[in-house]
Amino acid sequence: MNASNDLDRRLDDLLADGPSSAPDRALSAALDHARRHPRRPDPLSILRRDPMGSARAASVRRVATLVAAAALLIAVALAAATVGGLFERRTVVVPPVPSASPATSIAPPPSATPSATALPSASPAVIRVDLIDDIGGTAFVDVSDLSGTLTTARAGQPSEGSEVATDIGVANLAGDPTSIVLTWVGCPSDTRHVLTIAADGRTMTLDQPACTGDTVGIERVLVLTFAGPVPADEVHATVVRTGG
Amino acid sequence: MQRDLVQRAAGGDQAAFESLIRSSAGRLFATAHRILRDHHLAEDALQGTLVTIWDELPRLRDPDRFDAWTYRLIVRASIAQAKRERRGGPVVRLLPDEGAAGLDDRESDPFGRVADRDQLERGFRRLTPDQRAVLVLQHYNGLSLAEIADVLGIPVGTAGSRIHHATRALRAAIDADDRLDDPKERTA
Repeated sequence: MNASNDLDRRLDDLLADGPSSAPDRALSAALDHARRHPRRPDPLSILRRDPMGSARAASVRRVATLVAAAALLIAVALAAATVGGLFERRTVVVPPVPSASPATSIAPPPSATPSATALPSASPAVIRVDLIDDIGGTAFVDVSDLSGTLTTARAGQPSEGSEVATDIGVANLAGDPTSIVLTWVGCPSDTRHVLTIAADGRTMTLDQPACTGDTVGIERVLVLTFAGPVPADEVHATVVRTGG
Repeated sequence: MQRDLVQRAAGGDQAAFESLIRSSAGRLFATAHRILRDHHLAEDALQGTLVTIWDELPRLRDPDRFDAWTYRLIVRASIAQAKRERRGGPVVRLLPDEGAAGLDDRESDPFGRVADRDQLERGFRRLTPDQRAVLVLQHYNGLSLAEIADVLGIPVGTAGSRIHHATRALRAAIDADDRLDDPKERTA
């Protein structure tokens, strides 16, 4: 028997001697620890190193995880940008083209009361003119100019009105060949009128609310000023009654 | 069976954890006791290991590696425990000696065998905790070289080298002890 084998055998004997069962105290302490520290879900567990994994495998895994996380972040960012872009397109508000029609340059008459107001969402530009109403009505007219020659629109005083031979009277404002005075007879219950000036600048159509019941007529006067002279006898104005 | 217990315990099943450690604690404590040669130190090492098992088990990806992993934990806990204990104790310097003569002479002597055992115990205690650990894994736990390397997380060649050096150191410690027992050596 050589010395090496003898030493191995003696060491086997030495180490075979000893306890083989664990003391309860250590077990109880571990179980108590487990009860006091219940396991919680760990969302980052995939990133944690396997205690029995090789260092190389751990390194490769860590790099792969980081690459995957970066790719995921990029994908999320791209998706967010795409979805955000879609939402942005859906909610975009297209403003009226300011230079598309000269009508947008129309300014309300500085001293007129009531005044004309440009409606921002219409194209071509619509000018709202509150008509003068001595009995407290709320009549107004939305003027839509397709000719691009209208510069201002305002409510006219009754004294500026012309004689209404048919449905609507057309005359030039005294001393101003560029201004046309439209006069028509409405009702106290009138609210919204719509005046459309055709592309030729001479054809005008007034949509007027229909009167209901017997009532007293009220003279409505609207003064339109154009970029150039507009002879009244060239203007063809008609009234269309809508609603009831 | 153990694989199922490991997976359930990793998921937070405390009953599975209890079954798992009751079936493993014996071999872990025995290993710690062989390395540390002290009941209380081994008990402390075992307790720390069992707590670590609960805390770290979800990170163990392959349940079949549970035994190797727990060996690694108990060996590390034992080595740490031994180093803590050694800080306050005496430092023993080993004098390397290749000779191994005199071992066979005591085979037939029962009193000599007891003396041999005590001498081996003293020599073993003089080894470093790392050296004791590899010898325990080989001689008590019966692990192969590859398994020892796996448990310690070192290359197989390194494991073989550690065993070789541990054995040499043990033999040197025994020889040094022999010389102390020899009256001629003492008076020389």
